[in-house]
Amino acid sequence: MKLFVGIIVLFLTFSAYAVDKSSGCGAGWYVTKRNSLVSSTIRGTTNAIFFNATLGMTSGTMNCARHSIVKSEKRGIHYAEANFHQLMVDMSRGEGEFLEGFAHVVGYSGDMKLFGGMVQQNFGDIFVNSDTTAQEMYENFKNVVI
Amino acid sequence: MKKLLVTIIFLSMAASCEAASLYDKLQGRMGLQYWLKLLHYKPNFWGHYKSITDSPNFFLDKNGKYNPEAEFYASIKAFKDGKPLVGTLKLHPQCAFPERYRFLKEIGLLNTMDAPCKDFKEWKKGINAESISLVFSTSFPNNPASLFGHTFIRINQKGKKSDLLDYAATYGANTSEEGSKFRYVFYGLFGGYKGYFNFMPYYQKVNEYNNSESRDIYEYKLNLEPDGVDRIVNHLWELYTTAWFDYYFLDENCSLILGGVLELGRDEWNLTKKDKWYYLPADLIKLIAKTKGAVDEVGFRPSIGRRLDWRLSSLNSGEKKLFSAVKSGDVISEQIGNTKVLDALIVYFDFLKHKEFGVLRPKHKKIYHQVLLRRSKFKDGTAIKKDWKRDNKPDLGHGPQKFSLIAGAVNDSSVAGIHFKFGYHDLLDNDKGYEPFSGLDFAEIGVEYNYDLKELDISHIGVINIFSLHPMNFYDPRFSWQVGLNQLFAGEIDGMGKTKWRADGGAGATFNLGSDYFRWYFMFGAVAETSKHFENSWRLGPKVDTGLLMNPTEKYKLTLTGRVIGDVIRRIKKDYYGEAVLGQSLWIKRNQELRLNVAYVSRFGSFDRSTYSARFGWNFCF
Repeated sequence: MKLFVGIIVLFLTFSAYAVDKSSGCGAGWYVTKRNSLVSSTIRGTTNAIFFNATLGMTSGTMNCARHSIVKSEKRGIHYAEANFHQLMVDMSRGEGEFLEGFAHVVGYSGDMKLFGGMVQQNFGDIFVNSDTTAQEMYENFKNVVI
Repeated sequence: MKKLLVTIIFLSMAASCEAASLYDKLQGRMGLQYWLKLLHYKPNFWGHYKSITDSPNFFLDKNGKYNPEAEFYASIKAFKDGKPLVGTLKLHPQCAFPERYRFLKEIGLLNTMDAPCKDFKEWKKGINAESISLVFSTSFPNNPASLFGHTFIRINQKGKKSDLLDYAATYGANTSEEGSKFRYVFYGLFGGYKGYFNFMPYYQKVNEYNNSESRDIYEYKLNLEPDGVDRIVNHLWELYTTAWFDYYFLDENCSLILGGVLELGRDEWNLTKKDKWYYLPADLIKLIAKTKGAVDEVGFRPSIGRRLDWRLSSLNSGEKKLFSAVKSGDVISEQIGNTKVLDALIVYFDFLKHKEFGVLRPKHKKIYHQVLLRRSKFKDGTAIKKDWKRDNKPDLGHGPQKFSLIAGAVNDSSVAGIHFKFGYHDLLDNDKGYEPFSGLDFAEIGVEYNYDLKELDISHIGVINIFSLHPMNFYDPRFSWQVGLNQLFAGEIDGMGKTKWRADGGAGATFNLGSDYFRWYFMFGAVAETSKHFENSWRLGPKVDTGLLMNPTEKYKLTLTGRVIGDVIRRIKKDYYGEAVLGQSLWIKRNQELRLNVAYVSRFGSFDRSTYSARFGWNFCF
């Protein structure tokens, strides 16, 4: 039976799980890799924020927690990195789930409409041009808020 | 001396009696079932237990993988002694296995001081679990090879403000080392990859599946009591810090392992019940949806491709023109006041960006930025129009295996037969719970009795048949393709009793004719056929394929397909034959279908003479 199944899957070449390399670690991240400053560390840092940074490494989950460079107070910037594309969309519209998540991560707990409106109004200052990076966006956002 | 011997014997008996009674107590207090679940023990054919966990760190007895009782005693001893320290983190046994410890204490088999377990407590506080969701991500758009989808867990936080900030617990093979696809397939099937648990923010998974890979996400929130949630979270820690499993794509995959974790949530849950030689993500979803009261609610996150579809379909023709003009740079977005168009443009560029791995071409990048800037001038957003006419939750799908009773006629002879298919979904199957008009069939066999010939023959062997029909559109133009390997009747010689083997493949394009439920495809390809009934024993040649596919109502489908196949080997003039098939299916229940196939196969070298056949099937899926 296994041989038979082998033939089938060879036909498929790529099984569902094959493409799902991401379900362990890796893939998926290529999206942010090219235009980010700290994206390669995101996986590690997001883990590091809430989990003992050594865990991922020692339990053999490879790639996931190799870096623990960034401390938890930088959670906002990592959220911005990881959700850069979606934040760009939500900020221009002044609403959206990714923007709400961002608000919470940076510690805003007030009225979302207000937050959304403010970000939207200042969109041009936050995303200055088409090359604005996630980190610049985050800095600009802080300047707008403060 | 004799006395000493007797004493020793008695002592050892007493020891074993006491030991046996503790394990008996576990059984007596209905704890054995949970113990077996918690350590992922499964009985083999002979009734011997073996855990599907493969890492030595997960067991405190060196024979623990094969011996639940020895593992039980070793655990009790380790929890009392505070050693051995477990894993590379050197955790106190109570801290490495908090659920095991809690459970043994709860049923009164253990009475020791609790270790502080700082790491575990900190982690658990960070997770802050209130409830658990089982998440299903569908296949890549019309890529039959990924039809099976993927599953993982979301841990819903207490008092949460956003789902995105929850944690996802995923289980997957670690395939990070570079390797050939062949190795990937080989390891996946026969073992060689290790599967691990990992945690990450949910937004990471949403970005990955919804946006980068354009896959829909379904979230099944489970109905659990707080202690059920607790059990699962504790156990996830145990797996995270100590366990790996040999990963097999078809059975010991993400879904079987996740089922084994989730079934801890309620004593009566059994989510690792395998009734086939494979266990697919949708099997877990169906099993949990079928478990009474297990699912509270189902959430849905449309893929970016679907969101784009919805946005575009909400535009009228004038708006579509405007959309195209801005997209190609002919009109600058500053002149636009229509948020519907702007919103559609935003999803379009976002889609392109993800398709191109996060980087837009410079020209697009500039236009995109202008569009976003323009959009930020308008307060009121337009809600996305959900063009979701049919509920397509994966738990609603038909069973992948199919048994059929068949009756019909070939030319003037009556035939009757049976047909069995291991999986999975063909073009006439009900698309509910599946990717529409997708086709992935494997391992089928049919036998048929011909009343005139008085012969029982193998009528069909299907090794593999894949149809990937991706509708052409301007934002994601992709080829459609097809491959197949089958044994079938050679109607072009004589529809009765004579069989041939055929391997074929083709590529072309598919178009939606007005709606997603009405498609047309055409393909060019090649066919190789062999049979002892052929003059040269084999043929090789080009083919042209075309088909109309209709699904006007949820329960009814009609397909009309045709092909012309040539033979370049013989180098004679009339070296072709043609096939046409009209197929209809009517679903009377979720797992029951009536099907009628009428086929015409021309004789080799002629379209005048032909073999006609009609077959009626009553099909049962399971």
